[in-house]
Amino acid sequence: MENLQYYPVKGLSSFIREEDNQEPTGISKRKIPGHRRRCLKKRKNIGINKRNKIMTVNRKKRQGLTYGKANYRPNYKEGIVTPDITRRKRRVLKVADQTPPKLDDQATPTKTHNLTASISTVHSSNLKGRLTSSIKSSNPAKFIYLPGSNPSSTLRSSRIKVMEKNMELSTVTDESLNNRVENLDNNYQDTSSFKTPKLTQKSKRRLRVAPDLTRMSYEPARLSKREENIVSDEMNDSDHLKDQKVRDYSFTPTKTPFKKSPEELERARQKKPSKRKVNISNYSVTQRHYGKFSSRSVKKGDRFTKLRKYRPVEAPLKYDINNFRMEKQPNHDGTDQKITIWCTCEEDVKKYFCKTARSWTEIVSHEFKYHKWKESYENIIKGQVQSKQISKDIERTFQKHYAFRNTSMIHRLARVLCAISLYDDKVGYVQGMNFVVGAFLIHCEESIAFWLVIELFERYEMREVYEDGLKGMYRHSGICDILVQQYLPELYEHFGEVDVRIEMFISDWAISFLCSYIPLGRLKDYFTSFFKNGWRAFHCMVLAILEFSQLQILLSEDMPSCMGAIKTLKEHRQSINYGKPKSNPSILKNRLPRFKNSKAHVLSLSFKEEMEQDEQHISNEIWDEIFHLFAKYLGKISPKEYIKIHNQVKI
Amino acid sequence: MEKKKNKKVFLKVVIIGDSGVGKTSLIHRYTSTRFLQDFKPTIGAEFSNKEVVINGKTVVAQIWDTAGQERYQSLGISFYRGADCCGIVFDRSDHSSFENLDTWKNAFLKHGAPKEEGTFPFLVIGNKSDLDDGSLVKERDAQQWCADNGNLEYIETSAKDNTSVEEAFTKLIEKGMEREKVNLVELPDRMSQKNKTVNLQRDVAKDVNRKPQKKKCC
Repeated sequence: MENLQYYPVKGLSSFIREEDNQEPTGISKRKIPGHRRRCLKKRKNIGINKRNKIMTVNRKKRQGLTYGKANYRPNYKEGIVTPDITRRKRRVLKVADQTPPKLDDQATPTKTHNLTASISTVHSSNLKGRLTSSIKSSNPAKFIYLPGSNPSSTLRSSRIKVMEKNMELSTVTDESLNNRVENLDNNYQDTSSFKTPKLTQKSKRRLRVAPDLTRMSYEPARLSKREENIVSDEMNDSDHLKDQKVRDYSFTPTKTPFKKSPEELERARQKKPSKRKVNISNYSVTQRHYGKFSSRSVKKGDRFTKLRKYRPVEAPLKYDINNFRMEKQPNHDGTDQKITIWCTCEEDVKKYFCKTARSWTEIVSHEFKYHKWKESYENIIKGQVQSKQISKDIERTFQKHYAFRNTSMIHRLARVLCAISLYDDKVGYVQGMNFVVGAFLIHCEESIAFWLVIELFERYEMREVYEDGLKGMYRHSGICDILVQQYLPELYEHFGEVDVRIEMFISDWAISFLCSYIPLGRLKDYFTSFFKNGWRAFHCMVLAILEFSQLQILLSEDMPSCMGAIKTLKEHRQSINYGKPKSNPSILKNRLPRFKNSKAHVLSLSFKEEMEQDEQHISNEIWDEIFHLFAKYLGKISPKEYIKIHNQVKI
Repeated sequence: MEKKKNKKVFLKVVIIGDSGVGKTSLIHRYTSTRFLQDFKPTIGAEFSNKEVVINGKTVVAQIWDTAGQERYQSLGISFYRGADCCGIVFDRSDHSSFENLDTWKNAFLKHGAPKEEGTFPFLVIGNKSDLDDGSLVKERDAQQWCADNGNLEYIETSAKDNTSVEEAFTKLIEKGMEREKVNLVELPDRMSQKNKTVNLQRDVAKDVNRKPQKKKCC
C-alpha cells in the first residue's frame, strides 16, 4: 500500500500516487455509494439484530437502507437491523459469505441458512492471534465472536464485553478521527501527557454528531493487559482477513485462550507496540512539522499503520510558460506594431529584422522565406513543455539591458527556448542557450531567431556542446589549449605554474558562446564573423581576449587571482552601476540622495549618468582593441591550420 | 617573504546545490559584502578568494562556485577534486531543491572522491530565509535530514538580508581546517622516508596532474 512514487519534479502536477489510478477494491469504499450498493447485493440479504442474531432481510426492506457520510449504517426503523454493526464485523461476515466454511458431508446448505457451520476456530499458523467465528449449524441465528477456542458460559459474557469495547474503538470513523485530531492538536503536544479536554460548546456540538468519541480511549494503556492482547490479536486478524480471503477453519483446542505463556506475551508486545498511541503521536508530529497534506494520504484500511506522508509544496512560478505560449504573434507584414527590434543597427525595409540579421539569414540559407519559417516555428511551439529551468532563467538573462526589462521580450525569450527544447528532445534546454537566444532576439523576430539558433546547432556543431557529457566543450578546450601554446607561449607557461587549466574559463565561454562575456552591442560583429568562419572565429576571439589581458594575468600569482584577471573585463562591465572602479566608493555614497526629487538627488542622477557614459566609453575602447586583435588572429590562423588542429584533438 | 607565504593555509571550498538557489549571491555577499543586483546563471564554474584570520592563522579560502544544472555535473568532476570542505545550498522556499540534497551529496562523494568519506566536512545551508510566507522548509525537517546523513551541520541564511552568511562560511572554513590538521599530522610520517620537507601544496599539484588522465577515459 505504501507505494508513494515520487516522480522527478516537472511542473506542477508531478506528484501522482499509484493508488489514485487504481480502481477501488474491497468492500468499503466511501467515495462511491454505487459501489457499496453492488457490494450489498453480494451479501445475500443478511442483517444482524441487537442480540447478534443473523436475520434475513427482504429486498424491499433493504431498499430502506441509507448511506451515511462516513460509515454505512442501516436504517433501523424496521426494528430488525441494529445500528451497531461494526465494519469489522461486516467484513468477517463477508468473508464467511464468500467462502462458506466446509461442512460435514451430511449437512447441506439451504437458501434460508447461508451461513451454517460447526463451531470452528479461525486459525492461522503465522499469526499468534486466534479469532473464532463460531457458527452453530443447529442454531444458525446465533453468531458469536469468540476470541477463545474453549467457550464457556461464564467466560463468554466477559469476552463479549471486551468485544463491545473493541467495537466502539473500531466504529470511530476516519472523518471523526481526523476532526478530533485537528481539534485536539492545538490543545496538547505530547500524547503521553494527554488528558481529555474540557468540553466547550463547540466540542459538544461536534460530539452530538459523533458521540462515540467521548468514550474513545486514545491510550491503550487504559485497557488491562489481557484486553490489550486481545485487541492486538484481533487487529492482526482483521488485517489478515483483508489480505487473505480464503482461510482455514480448523479447530485447535490445544491452548486456553487467555492464558498465554509470558514469552508469547512479550513477543506480542514487541511486535505490536500500542499501535494507536504511536499513530496519534505521529499525527500531531506531522501536523506540526509540515505545512500541508493531502487529505487522501490516509486511507481507510491502513489508518493505523500509515502516516501522513510528507508532500512538498511547490512554489508558484512567476513565469509559467504555458500561460503565454500561444500568445498571438505579429503579422508577417509588420503591420502589427508589437514588433520591436531593439538593436541600433540599420533598419531593414521589412520590419521583422534589422539589416545585420538579414545578412545572417542570407549566409545561412539562400532561399529565405519568412512565411515558411514562421509557420514551421508555430507548429513546433504547439507541443507541451514543462521545464522549470527555463522559467527560472528567463529573468536572469541580460538583466541590465533595457530590452529585457520588457515583459513581452521575456515572453518571446521563453517561447523560443521552449521551441528549442521541443525541437531537440535529446538536448533539451541547457543553461547558456538563453544568452545566445537573447542576443539574437534583439536583432530579429522570434521565428527567425529560433531558426538561426537551430542553424547553429545543425551546421556549426553547437549541438555537441550542449549534449550529455559536454563533448563539444571538451573538444574546444583542447583546441584552445593547442592554440594558446602556439601563439601565447608565455601565458601557457604561466598557466602551468599557477595551476590554471584552460577548461576552467573555456567551459563558461564555449557553452554561453561568449554571449555572456561580450557586451550586447558588440555581439553582432562577432556573430557575423562566426556565421562566415565557424568556430575559428570563437577561438580567435578567445586568443584576442587573452592577449589583451596578458599583462594582468602574468602579474597574478595564485589561481583565483589569475582567474580574476581573465574576468576583469567582465567586472568592468558589471560595475557600470556602481561607478568607476578608480573612484572611491565612499564618495559615491556621500553623494547619494536622501530624499527624492531634492537637489542632491538630481545632482547625483546626473553624476551617475556621467559615470555610466564614462564607463561605456571605457568599455567601448577596450572592445575596440580586442576586436582589432581579433581581426589580427583571424588573419593569422588560416582555415587549413584550424582544421589540422581540430583533427588533432580526439575525445 | 617566503616564510610569510608558508604560513598561509590554502583551503578549497566548493559550493554546490540546485540552480537558482542562491549560491552565487551567497558567495558574492561573503566576498564583497554586498548583494548582487545582477542575477545571472553561472555556467561552468567561477572562483573567488578571501583571506580570513581564524585562530590566529591567515587562511586563504578559494571558493568555487559551480553551476546548478544537471547537465554540468560531468564538468563538476574536475572541479570537486581536492576540495577541503563542501557547502550544499538549498532554497528554503523551493521544496524540490531540499529533496535534491541527497543527490548532490552523493554526486560530490562520487566525483570528488575525498579520502575519508564518512567524516568529510559538509555544511547544509538553507538560503532565502527572508522569504517568509509560511511555506518554507522547516528547520526541523532540514535538521532531521542532516542527522540522518551523518550528523551534518545546518545553517539558515539569507544573502539578501545578510543574516548569518559570515557564520556559515567561517564554520565551513573551520571545519576544513580541522580536516587539514589531521592530514598534516599524517603527512610527515609518510613523507619522512623520502623527503624531510613537507610541501603543503603537494596534494593540489597531484590532483592537477591526475585530472587530465581522467579526462581521457571519459
